[in-house]
Amino acid sequence: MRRYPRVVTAAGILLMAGSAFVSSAFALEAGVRGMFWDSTISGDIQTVTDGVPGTILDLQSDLGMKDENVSNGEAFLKAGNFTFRVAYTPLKYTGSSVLSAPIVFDGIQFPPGTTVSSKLETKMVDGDVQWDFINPDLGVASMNLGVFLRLKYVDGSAEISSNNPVLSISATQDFRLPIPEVGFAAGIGFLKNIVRADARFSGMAYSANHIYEGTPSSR
Amino acid sequence: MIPFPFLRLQGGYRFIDLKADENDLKGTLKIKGPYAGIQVAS
Repeated sequence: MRRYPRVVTAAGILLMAGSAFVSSAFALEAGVRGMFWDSTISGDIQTVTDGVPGTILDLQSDLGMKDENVSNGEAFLKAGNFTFRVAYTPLKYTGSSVLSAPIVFDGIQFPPGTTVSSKLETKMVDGDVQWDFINPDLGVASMNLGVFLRLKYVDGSAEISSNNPVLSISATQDFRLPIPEVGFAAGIGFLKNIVRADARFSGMAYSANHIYEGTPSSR
Repeated sequence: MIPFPFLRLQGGYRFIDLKADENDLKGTLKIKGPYAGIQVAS
């Protein structure tokens, strides 16, 4: 007889815990998000033309590229423990500099003393599928831990040109990179997610290539 | 009561660290910085 209340208590606890998972398992949310990114850029670029490597060019010290503010957006659909996201990030950085030494870019030589304008332009599209393996809704608080797969497509070009009327030359290198990534997501929210902190980190490394990216955020 | 439950403001930090070594192009690209965002959701 004493076993019966224990069974009822245990079943009640399981039902309460289960309902927390079931309620979030069938939750549906869709939305769009716009962001204003105060981005800084650094790095280098080198072309290889017919097997002949060009000059390694630092984006800031050699080409004078400046930091830019970037507007980007994201649409998402959250269905239970799965979240689907599509994000679009257009990037455009420009610079101007006077060459202190000769450079070769895309097989074209630019002599020293030349004033060059440079432009790095890319469009990045991310497609994510996220699965939250922990996603309970505990009323005043909620949290999630998940993993996601991302396919990033980068379509861009790098251009260096000289508008000198005596020597007008221009070289452009296009690039297209499909990049698969694996990511980890975590979040915690309070008061029906009025206050919430999230973080997503993803990356992929193969051969001499790699990409790592992340977006810790709060609201 | 929440006046605009479908509207949320957020802020954060975003970074991308890319290294590419393709046949005709090699390079590294690091883009990072804070961002502010607005979200509309059902």
